[in-house]
Amino acid sequence: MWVLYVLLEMLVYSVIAGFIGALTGLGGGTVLVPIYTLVLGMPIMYAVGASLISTIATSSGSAAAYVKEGISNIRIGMSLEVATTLGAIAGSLTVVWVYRVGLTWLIYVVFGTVLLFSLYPTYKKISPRPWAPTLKPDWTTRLLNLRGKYYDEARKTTVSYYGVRWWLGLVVMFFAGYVSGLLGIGSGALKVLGMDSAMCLPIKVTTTTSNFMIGVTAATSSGVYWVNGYIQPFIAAPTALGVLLGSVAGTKALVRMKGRSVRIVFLLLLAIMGVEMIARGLNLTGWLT
Amino acid sequence: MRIRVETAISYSLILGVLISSALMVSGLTLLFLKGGAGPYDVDTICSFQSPVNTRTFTLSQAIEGLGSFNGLSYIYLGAVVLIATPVTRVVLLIGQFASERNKLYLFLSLLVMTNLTFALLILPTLARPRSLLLAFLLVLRCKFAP
Repeated sequence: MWVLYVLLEMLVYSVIAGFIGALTGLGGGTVLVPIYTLVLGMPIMYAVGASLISTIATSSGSAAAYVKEGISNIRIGMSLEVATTLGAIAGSLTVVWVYRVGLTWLIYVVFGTVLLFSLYPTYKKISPRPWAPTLKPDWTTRLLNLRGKYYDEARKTTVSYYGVRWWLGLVVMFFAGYVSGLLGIGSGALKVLGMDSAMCLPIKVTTTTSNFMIGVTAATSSGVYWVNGYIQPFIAAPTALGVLLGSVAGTKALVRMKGRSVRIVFLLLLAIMGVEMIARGLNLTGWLT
Repeated sequence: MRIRVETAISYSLILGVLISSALMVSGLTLLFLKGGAGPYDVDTICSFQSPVNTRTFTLSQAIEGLGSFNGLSYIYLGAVVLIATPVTRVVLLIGQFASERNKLYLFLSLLVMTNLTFALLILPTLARPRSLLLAFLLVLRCKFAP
């Protein structure tokens, strides 16, 4: 009976993580790992492994949206995947080394820091402004054909957009992939940052493209995670199912939600979690609670 | 043509996620119904500090357990199907770019596929130098055996 209770507990927490992750746009894993480690007291290794698997489920599960989206988004995504997959390989190998030399506390600190730094791009994503060209098209715009259109529902018009500075996007994406491999999260916020700030793409496009990239990046890290035993089947299975269900529900709730206040409250809650993760890493447990 | 490929990609991903979820649910159910899996009992598997993970219980062991309805085997199969979904997406896009004769994007997607293959197939064997050494010795024995 005890075991069933533990299973139910994980299922409930992962549904909540998936729901908040989808609602804020931060991704299920980023919410999940702090809950699993701080609340359930799970070894971070298993929490991160389960999070990685759930990240793949969420990314592939969100594919229904792509039926409506244009291929241009997917094309831009593929061109950046070159960097995120390389980053994921480097990140997953780094985390193996970190655990081997016993620097696990560092993962808590980096996780908390990434969580805090993800909040601003996520907040920006919540309050999108209509896209306007800020930089002139450059050689990468032409070479890689970084152009596309999307339908702006609020203004009822089709917006034609273009991306610039693909090379800068690659640099940020390598970093995003590295963080994803290191922490077992999708690092969607960093991916959005790369496409929004570096490549000047519209937020609406960056979100769907980032969803596409997250799955491929996470799948890349899964090989190293698997062989090093970070995936615990009893933890990973309910987590993947829970986060998937939660994120589907979250995405649906998002469509009906008008205001931003609920999401901002969740972001503040996550800020506390980020600080708490850093505190745990620096052995300051109980500092806030 | 374009719409068809995108739709195919979307449905293959959703199908992959559904199959994987079904496998994981049946794996968990088997685990509880049989009170364990293979040599492990439920209490050993179902704890946060469990020694049972993808390193101690390997994929090849999992495949062997499929016939005897080992719960872990079905969870593993579910995870493998899940990991395969983004890979399928890349493969389908390679096909799409090839049919479009979009050389640059074909090259980029092949590069992504190379990274994926390296990370999923080559890197895990390198991470286990012992198994690699064993395979090497096995080859040597086959070659020089009388």
